[in-house]
Amino acid sequence: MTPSCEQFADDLSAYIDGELETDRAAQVEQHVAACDACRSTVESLRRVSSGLAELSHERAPGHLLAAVRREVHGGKGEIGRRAPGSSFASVYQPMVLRVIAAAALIVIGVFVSRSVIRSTSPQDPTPTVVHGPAFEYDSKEMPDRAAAPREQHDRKQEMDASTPRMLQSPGYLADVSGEIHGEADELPIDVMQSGAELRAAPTGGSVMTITVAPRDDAEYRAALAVLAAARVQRLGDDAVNDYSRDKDANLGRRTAGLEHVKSGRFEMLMVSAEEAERLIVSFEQVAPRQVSVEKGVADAGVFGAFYLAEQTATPAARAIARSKESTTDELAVAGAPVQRSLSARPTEPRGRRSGGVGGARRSETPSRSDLEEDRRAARGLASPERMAKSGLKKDIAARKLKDRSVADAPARQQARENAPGDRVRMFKQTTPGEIASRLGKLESPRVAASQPAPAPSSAPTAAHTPATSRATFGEVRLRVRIMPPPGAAPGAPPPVKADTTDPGGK
Amino acid sequence: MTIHGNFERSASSKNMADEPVTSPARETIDIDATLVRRARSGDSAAFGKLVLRYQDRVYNACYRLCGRRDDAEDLTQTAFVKAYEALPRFEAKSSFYTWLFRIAVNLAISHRRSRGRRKTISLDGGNDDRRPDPAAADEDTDVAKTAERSELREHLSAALAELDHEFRAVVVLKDIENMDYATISQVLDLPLGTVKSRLHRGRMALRERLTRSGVQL
Repeated sequence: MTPSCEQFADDLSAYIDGELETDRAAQVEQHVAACDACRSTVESLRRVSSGLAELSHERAPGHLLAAVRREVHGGKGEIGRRAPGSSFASVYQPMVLRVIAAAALIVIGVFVSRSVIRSTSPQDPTPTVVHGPAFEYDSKEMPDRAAAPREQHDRKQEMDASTPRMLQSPGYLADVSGEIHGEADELPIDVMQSGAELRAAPTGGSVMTITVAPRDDAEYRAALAVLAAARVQRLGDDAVNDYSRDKDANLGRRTAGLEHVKSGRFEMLMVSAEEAERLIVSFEQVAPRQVSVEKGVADAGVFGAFYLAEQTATPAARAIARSKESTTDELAVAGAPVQRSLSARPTEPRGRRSGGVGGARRSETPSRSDLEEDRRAARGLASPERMAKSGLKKDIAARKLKDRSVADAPARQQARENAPGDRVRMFKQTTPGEIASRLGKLESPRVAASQPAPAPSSAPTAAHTPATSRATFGEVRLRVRIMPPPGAAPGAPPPVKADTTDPGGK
Repeated sequence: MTIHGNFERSASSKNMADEPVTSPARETIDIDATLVRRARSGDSAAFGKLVLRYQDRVYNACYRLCGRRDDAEDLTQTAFVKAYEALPRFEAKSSFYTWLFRIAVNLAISHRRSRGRRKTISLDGGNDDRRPDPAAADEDTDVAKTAERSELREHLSAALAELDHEFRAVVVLKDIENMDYATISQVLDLPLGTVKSRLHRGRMALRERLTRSGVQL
């Protein structure tokens, strides 16, 4: 005897969800096959369920993390406790000193990063490509890709082999920010050589290339939609600095970046680290196992450390800032297989007054007088206007002036008027003695140069590039590449980048 | 009743043995646990990472539960703050993910109750399931292919907003957040049988509303 519909009515939803025990599911299936009404109900419930799943997924506003930080610690801009007795923290507590410290640290950052550059061969402009295949807590399990430079034809294979692991592991997300936060002890960082792809990172911070190789048109379009909804910003846009002040106000500009991707070209985008992470996850959701990510740290990783130390006061960032090491160096110190220090900046003509930012514009071996000069210059940075007027280190002065635009003006004024002593103290606290010893450490050749210098024509050397002057710390210079799906319809944008292969194609 | 009994055993064993994709993967749980442990020991970055990992999902769930973006933002923020404050008391009986959702969903339900069930059918002013961005809308329209599906979404969004909260929470967690019954049971602190029946009734209510609106199912 066929059971009545009432006996099965309550199980129909569980049936379509696969949440019934096998025997019961078989009974329901049998009934549904025989009962038009229940079959119709099942089909309509399926449509309701799938329709709900298709509703747009709303994304949290980009400032949510900062808002949580503020609320947790009453405007101190951090989650977590400050390290007790941290001199770094104690200096940063008052707002006035925070502003001064930010400027002073940037100066020191320039100083130190220049020494980092000096520590590498000037003929080696290849950025360190830091590839995070997985966030695992035992770094011994890491594949030893560092030993074998990645070949381009391995890209697809590598995506298949490592990308799923990378992206299935939510820890990878931590990897992205962890790099900046300097939590090197838990980052199994892989280093590859891929000079062409990430060369275009002119200043400190993170650089990243996301490659999406959709398998079909639906994935391709979905990936484009993900990018369209992303809060990205073209690097070099006039509003890059504004972006750091008011991200939401600049959302309209993201479509410019999209247009470039639509046309199949690479585009450098400026995004927050959080947005970069979300982009990776979103791409992976629409094109599972078809997303590869390459990450690097531009040469002034120390900027990122200082920035984050100031912004987040994370212990790791403070540790890096205190020791004045770049993030890249921190990774090396922590035992991660970082093979080469990074110099993503264009190689510039040697000579003291050649202009440019930081960069290898000085003799390779810093003399004692070099150090002294840097110290004097750094002290002078307390007055960027004076520096700009003097014509010396214009780039640093410009950077500081720009940085000021983000900071609070009244606080700056107050700092100038009331706290000159603090400024000096701050500087002294972070520079004397330690810098010199650090320089000695950085000078030890860790990496052999192998890559040719970039063509001067592609990297203006007479002055720093606009992108350089607009760079903002703490954000990610992001390249997004969405490959056309295999067998793309005519008119689909072709892969343009000549020096890379199509990861989805061959 | 045997049916429910079977069902409950079924869902439980499923969760334990087969690791359905709808519950957090073991790897996710492990990494969450590590981040929680680090956060509890004072690693400030670790909790930030947890926020980044789950902010979109929590926000989306809150939005679908309360119907307003500004409220969803407040609720999400509050949920993370509460989670942070309660972290020392978090016992690893459930995953962080489940625990966090429990906080967020309870906040959203309380919020909705406190508003006296004032209806926010529009989900931010429109009865459409509007896209956050025009450029995305273009792309999405292509993806959606048919106006019919778009219409279904539109009506579904409105119907969901009208649903009673007890049904709505289950429907959102299942059909939007793609949780399995066992996880929903933990998040809402309900017996599996209740989850199952509420989900069915919620879907049936949505179906009825759609039918009344003239949507062909």
